[in-house]
This record gives sequence, C-alpha cells and structure tokens, in this order.
Amino acid sequence: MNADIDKQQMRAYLLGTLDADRCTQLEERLLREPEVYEELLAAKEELIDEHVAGNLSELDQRQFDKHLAITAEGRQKIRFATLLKRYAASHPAPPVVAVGNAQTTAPARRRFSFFLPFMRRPVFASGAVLVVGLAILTICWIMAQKTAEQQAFEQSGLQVIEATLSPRLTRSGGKTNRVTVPPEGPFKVELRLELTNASFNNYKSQLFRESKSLLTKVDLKMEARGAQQVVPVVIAGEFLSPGDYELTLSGVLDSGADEFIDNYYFRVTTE
Amino acid sequence: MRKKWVLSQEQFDALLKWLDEDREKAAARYEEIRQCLINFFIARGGAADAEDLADETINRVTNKVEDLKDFKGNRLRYFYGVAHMVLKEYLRKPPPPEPPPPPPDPGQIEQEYRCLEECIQKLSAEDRELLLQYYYPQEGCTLTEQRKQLAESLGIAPNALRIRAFRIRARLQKCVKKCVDRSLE
Repeated sequence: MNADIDKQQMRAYLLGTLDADRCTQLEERLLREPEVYEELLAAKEELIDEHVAGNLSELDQRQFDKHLAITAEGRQKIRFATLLKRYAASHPAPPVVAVGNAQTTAPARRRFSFFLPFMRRPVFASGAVLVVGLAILTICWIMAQKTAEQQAFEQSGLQVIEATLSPRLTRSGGKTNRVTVPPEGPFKVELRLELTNASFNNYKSQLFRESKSLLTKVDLKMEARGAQQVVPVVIAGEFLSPGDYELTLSGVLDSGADEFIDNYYFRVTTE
Repeated sequence: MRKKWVLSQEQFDALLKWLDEDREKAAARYEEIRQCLINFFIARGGAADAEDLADETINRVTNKVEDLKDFKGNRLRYFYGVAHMVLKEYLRKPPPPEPPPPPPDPGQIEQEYRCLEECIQKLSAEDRELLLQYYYPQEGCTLTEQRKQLAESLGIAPNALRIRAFRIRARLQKCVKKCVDRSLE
C-alpha cells in the first residue's frame, strides 16, 4: 500500500475518524505485518508533536482532545513531547549537511564508496555517465510527454465525461462509483469528488490503480454543485482504461502539509 | 464496566508463557498487545476509558489462558475478538465521564526534565543529533525539507529515517520513565 495513504489512514484511526471497515482492515494488517505496529506508534508520536507545536487543524485538534489527550498514556506522551521540545530549543542540533557537501556525515561517505571503481577507471566512468545520462533523458522525455498530454487535454475542447463520486463506496459494499467511457478516441473525464470536509482552500488528489500511483493533481479548488460541495478533478482518458481505481483526496494545510480526507473508489467501463 | 480484577502473579505468569516461552519476548509481546488494544478502543469510541478497557480485555483473556493451551492462531487476533465483546458491553452503557486529573505539579515536571537531560546524554552523539534534527526544524528550514535533507545525507529512504528516529525516541522515553520511577521510590 502507498506510504502516504498508510500514514493518513493511521492518523485517522488514532483520531477516531476512520470508518469501522477500514479500522478492521488496519487491525488485520497489524496482525499480519509486524512493521505496521511500529508505523502506527510513529504516527501517534507525530500527532502528539503536531499538537504540542499547535499545528493540528481545528478538526484534528478537536478529535485529538477527544481521543488521544484523554488517556493517561496520551497525557504522558504530550508531557514528554513538550519537554523534548524545550530541550531542543535550548540545545539546537548542528545543521543537516546536504549531500555533495565536503563535510557530509560518515554514512553518506560510505554510500559513495560504490563509485570508487569508476573513479579509478575513467573509461568505466565515462560509459556509466553516458548510460545514466541517456536513461535520465528518456525518463524526462516520457514524463514531459505525459504531463504535456494531460495539460493539453485539460485545455482542449475534447469530449468530457462527467461523473460524481461519493466517498468510500466500494465493490464489496454492493455499490460502486461507475464511470463509463467511450471505447476509443481522445476524451477527458471530470470526476467531481463529493466533499466531507470543506475547511481547506486547496486540495490534492492522487489516482491509484492496484496501489500504483498514476497521477497527482495539486491546487484543486472546491466548487458548489447545487447543495453539494465537490472538488473537480480532470483526468485525460489515456489514464483510464477499463478497471478499478482509487482516488485519494487530501486537504492542503497552510504549512504545506497534507491532511487525508477520503478515498473514492470507482470502476471504469466502456460504452 | 470498570471491573476491578485482581490477577495473581501465577495467572499473569501463565499469560506471559502463553504469549511466548521466552519471558523477555513475552513481556515485549504483552506491551505490544496492550498498545494495540488501547489504540483499538481509541479508534472505536472507547477513548475515554481506553486503558481500562484494554486491561479488562487482557484480564478476561488471562482468566481463559488455561483453556487456551492448544490455541494455535495469532494471539493478538484472539485479544481483538475479546476486545470487540468488551467494547460492545461498554458502548451499551458507558460510565459517566470522570473529571480530568489535576495537572502534574511543577516539581514533578522539573524532575522529568532532569531525567530527560540525563537520558539524552546516554544516547550516542549520532543518535542524539539525529533525534534533534529529525523532530525539530532549524531556523529558516521547514521540518519536511530538513527531513528530506537528513534522509539524503544518511543515504536512506524517508520512511526508514522516520522509523529510526522513532526508535531512538521510544528508547529515550523508556529511559525517562525508568528514571522518573526511580526518583519516586
């Protein structure tokens, strides 16, 4: 599963805002994957630090007060985080040295030992540089093509398929968000994500298929469609071949951090 | 809910043995299961009494341990099963909320701070530096940027860095707790 989704779901779990089905899914993962336990505890510490720094959103703060701050363990962790912050304020750590700087830390130096054989044999080095350079150019070209195509689609007057997606409808629940697309020809899809949290100025959405991230859209704005508030996300048709997809929606805080809001599952079928 | 069970040392030992033959591993597993149960109750509407409910669940399982000798499945799964029942009973009739505890006295907080200083000094210089660099941004730098740079400088993935920093912090927290407990004796 994508690390960002994991993190957001864990936060929601700890704040008591994750629905029962997904609580069970997460608990199942705790049973099967030992590392998830540690991830969950790390997420808890991060929430506590955000509370101590006053960086939680109003909604999260309310949930935090109702769920984490009222346990004895939570209070103890808050006290610890407060003391650690006080210590850090009076004992600032040395600045992080960026990679490439001559005074980089020991583990980073060890990392560059991989390149020693190339440094000793300049012929290898030139060959390697050429191969790496070509690979980078190819990747950049493919990415630029994709981005340009996506932008062109957004600005063009192509056929637009519109669909409104409700959060958390899953195939297993019997109901599914469906998007029917033409079998061929260029088109774009405007997915209107029904909002359950309209307290952000900016939104961000990520499209997944089989847990693989396909596309990220930023600077999305909320719009009112009748009584419902939605966030429109425009996606070029080439990203949407028939199959099952997942869109995650996050609110973007003033600090630039994301806050997970909901998942939207949908199935693409052809006419 | 709030049943006050009194577990004998023998019962508790039997529980640890059921969790793992190696007592040290069993103790670690016990802590892990208790944490998972607390989080379970926090997530599912029992936050106000999460610790009591977790202990109630553990006590119920402990009382059954004799009958569970042949149980082959995941121990945590069994605890979750009992926790669901405990939660159901609790949500049917939650007890009236208890008044919040009084804030800790300033003397105690200062003692905790002294313990923190002592425990931080026991960390290796490398761990100490990483802990402070990971959790606290320097002026003119956001925490996200700083973490990214730190991961790059160590040559590890951001999530690996996150877990490394968390482990140092957890070790430090344990040390502080031990130190505070000692000072109260």
